[in-house]
Amino acid sequence: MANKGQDIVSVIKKQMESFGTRVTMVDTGVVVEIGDGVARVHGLSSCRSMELLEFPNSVFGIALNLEEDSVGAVILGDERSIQEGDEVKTTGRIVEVPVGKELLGRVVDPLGRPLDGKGPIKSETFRPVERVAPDVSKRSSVDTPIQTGIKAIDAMTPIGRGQRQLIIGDRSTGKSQIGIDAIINQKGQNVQCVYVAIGQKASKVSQVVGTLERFGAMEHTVVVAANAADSAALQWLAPYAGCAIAEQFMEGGGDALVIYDDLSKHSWAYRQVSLLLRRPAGREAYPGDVFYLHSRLLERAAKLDAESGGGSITALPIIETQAGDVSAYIPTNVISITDGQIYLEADLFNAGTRPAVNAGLSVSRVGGAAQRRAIRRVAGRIRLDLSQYRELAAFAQFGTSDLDQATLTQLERGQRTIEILKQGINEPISMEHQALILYAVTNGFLDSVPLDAVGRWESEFQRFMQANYPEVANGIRESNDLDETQEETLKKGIEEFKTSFIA
Amino acid sequence: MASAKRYAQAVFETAQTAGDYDSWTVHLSEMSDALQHKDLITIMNAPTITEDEKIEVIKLLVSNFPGDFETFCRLLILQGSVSDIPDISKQYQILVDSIKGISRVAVTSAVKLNKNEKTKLTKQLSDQLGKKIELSESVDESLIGGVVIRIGDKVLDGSIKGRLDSMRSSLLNG
Repeated sequence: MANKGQDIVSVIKKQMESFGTRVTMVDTGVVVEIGDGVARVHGLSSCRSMELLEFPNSVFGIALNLEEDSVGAVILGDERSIQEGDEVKTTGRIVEVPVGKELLGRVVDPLGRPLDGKGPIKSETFRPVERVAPDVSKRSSVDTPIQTGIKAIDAMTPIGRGQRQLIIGDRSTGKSQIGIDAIINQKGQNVQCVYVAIGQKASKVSQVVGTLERFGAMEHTVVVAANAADSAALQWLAPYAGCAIAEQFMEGGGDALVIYDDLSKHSWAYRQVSLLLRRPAGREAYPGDVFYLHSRLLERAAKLDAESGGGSITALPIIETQAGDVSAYIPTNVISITDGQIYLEADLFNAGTRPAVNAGLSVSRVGGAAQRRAIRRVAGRIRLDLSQYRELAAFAQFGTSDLDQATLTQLERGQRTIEILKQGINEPISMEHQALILYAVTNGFLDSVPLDAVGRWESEFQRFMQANYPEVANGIRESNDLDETQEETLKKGIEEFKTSFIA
Repeated sequence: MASAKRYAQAVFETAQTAGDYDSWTVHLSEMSDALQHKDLITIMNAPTITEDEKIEVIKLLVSNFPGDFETFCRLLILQGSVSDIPDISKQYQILVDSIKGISRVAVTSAVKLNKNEKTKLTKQLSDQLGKKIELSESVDESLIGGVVIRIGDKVLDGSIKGRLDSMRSSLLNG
């Protein structure tokens, strides 16, 4: 304890010695109006846009509106201590956030201040929160997959590193869970993850952190949280801060995965800030630049070319729809910005199909090129099978007695495919194991298994293959492909297992 | 506030052509002082009182009432902007100062500055800014020591209090 006290004393001494006697000229202004997290400051004639302003009592703000005589600023923190007539100083700094490996395993606010009680962040590197996205010459095309570990997604809407894939759906349809599963599945994959919680309940954020810790996923994850009780300005800043943290990993040549949970609340926060700053309101009272708000954020997700280090940021923004309305303002905006979407449906979720991915409305516009060959080979037909099944299923509602054998087989296959794509939460599956089970279902090996035994069939089959034919999974993992000899062994294994399986 | 700047610019240009800045300075500041009484603003904005009557009131308040100033007041009465006069006066002074090469500096110190210190400070500031300095001083004991210099929006904080404050925040954030 004495030692620690000595440490502190020496640190303070060092800081005092280095504390210069230099006096610098600062630009000041006076608060003329304060309230609702927004201040109007008279003066500050040389203030820059997005500059950090210092209010009394170490409260900070950001200059957003620069007008002829005054500056409109949002307050980051407690505005109650600020009064009309208080002096405001410019700091000469643009809003920035600490970045680097030191943040891994931490929960921070959008300014990089720790929220987890694990002591100060020791990072020396800072990055501006807002930055222009890498330009065309620095990018390369998406060619490596990022495995979410979710069969329905990796098979039907594969995601590549550097892609922006939207997760969209009504409330409580498992949107966040997909992001969390994806983070858990990156364990040991050398992908650093950033989970940005915007306007969520603090209890939910702590639950997410708890889950990630339980699965050992916090080691490669940074959580940036601006909770529901935090100021709208902080919520608005959060995704940009998360992106800046991910950019540091990307520019170090690594791969990063960012989850923005969720951008609906982000646009609400920005709407609040904009309206309070008296910017003109547009459709649904959002300001005119709400499209740019999200496009400039998601544009920062990129796959860099080898010359720039070859790093990537994959972004998984989340949007919450109201009653399944994907044609509302913000959902259409973000759908048009992203490279595809995973559409989650409440009806499917309630019917027990979890994850509740709607295969028809979900697309991935660039991920197909990045899909592993093994998965592409076995899952290529799944989307087609499912859409045919859905058409027939609607028709077969009126009774299956008159249907021919081919149609009946297709119906059975479709039901089993849906059953196989079901997956528990926090149970991501590796690529090779996905390939095994998808091969079995698409090639009709499960057609004779009773529907209610499919789940058990799958888990027992995986265990059987692991025990008797581990070379198949290992081969797929190493070559990313399923060659003919492996396919023969796999077939043999399935046949063998089928004779021993008792439904 | 923005409109005050425009009025001030117009007044300034009028004064420039007449070659007489000072009489406008006097009139505007007399008017500003008078407008400290809120009742006067009420009178000026009252629709039941005619323009001529309002001008008569102003004549009583301002010494040596010239024609230019009357038309200016009539304009403001018509626009309902009489209450802007203190701002116009301030903005006008800034314009006049800038053309005369004067910089108004407010110095706050912990103890009253002696003559020697004042001349030293004035000289140093005028060398640095390249302008004539008009010093106005005030004493604030809470500064503990040193001075705070204000030039418009800009602040040079050389006080012990300011140093302690920034030291505290740097220690807390370090």
